[in-house]
Amino acid sequence: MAQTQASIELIFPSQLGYEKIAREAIGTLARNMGFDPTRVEDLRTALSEACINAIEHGNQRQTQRRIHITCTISRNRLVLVISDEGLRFHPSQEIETATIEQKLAGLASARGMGLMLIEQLVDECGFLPSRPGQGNRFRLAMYNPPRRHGSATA
Amino acid sequence: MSNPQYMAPSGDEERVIELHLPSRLGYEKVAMDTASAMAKRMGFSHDRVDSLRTAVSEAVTNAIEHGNQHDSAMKVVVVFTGSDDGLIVDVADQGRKILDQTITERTPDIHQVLHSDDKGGWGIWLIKELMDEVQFSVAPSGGNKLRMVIHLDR
Repeated sequence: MAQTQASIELIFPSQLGYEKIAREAIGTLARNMGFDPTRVEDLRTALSEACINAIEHGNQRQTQRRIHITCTISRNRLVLVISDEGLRFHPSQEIETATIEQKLAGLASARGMGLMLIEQLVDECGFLPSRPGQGNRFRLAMYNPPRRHGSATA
Repeated sequence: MSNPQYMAPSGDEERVIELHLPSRLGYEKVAMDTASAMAKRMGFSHDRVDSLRTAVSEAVTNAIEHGNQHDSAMKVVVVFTGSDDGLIVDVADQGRKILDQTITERTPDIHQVLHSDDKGGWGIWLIKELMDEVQFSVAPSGGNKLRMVIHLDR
């Protein structure tokens, strides 16, 4: 299905539940690319988390605001960019200052747990630089075979 | 088809999912899984979801093979619009080849099809059998557009 690079776009409202539809669409793609079932599940979970962040945080659950997913695939790599309309910027620096233990103990905000989870599930992830008014753009990538480096930094 | 009022796009922008796919066979599976995830969420029965999957698969395959002539740089755009009455699915191609409107009217003759080299011609008939409303049009920009509607039983 993916001999050369191809891209897919998926646009949907900022309403919880729609991330499940995105998860199905992208899961199918990953499966057809030959990712093994556990990694497809990891990607589905990571994508759900990223979409929920974009819906709840970036678009403040305003349903008329859109979430935009661009999926670029080549023979051995799948890259997703999840964009919102940036009503609020994601405090991404928080993930570096609080550990998951601190969050669980209630010593730090529970926000950012999703990002920690995503880091464990995919090969690469992070926010892309965006200009004011451009919204948050979160990128995640998975390779086949996997390239798990840097995931221990969380 | 019988109830043109229903075809009017609803003002409910919140329940619209847009999917852009490259014109390469295999990608219709992404559209099928997006359709079934949305239909299940809306409460369609298992059988209706299956019918929808088949119809979407046929429509997207037609757009890839005929409308866009397998040119993978050309996009197939699928728009799912949910309402309380049902689900509208629009499938648009970029129209390298405009659909012969007479094809949309005829019922294939099984004897003729079995003896002909061209095994095509069943897709549109099948879509019309499976969906509650089907409408063909040509976009001002030249692409083919197929609109199909599946009603929610209440």
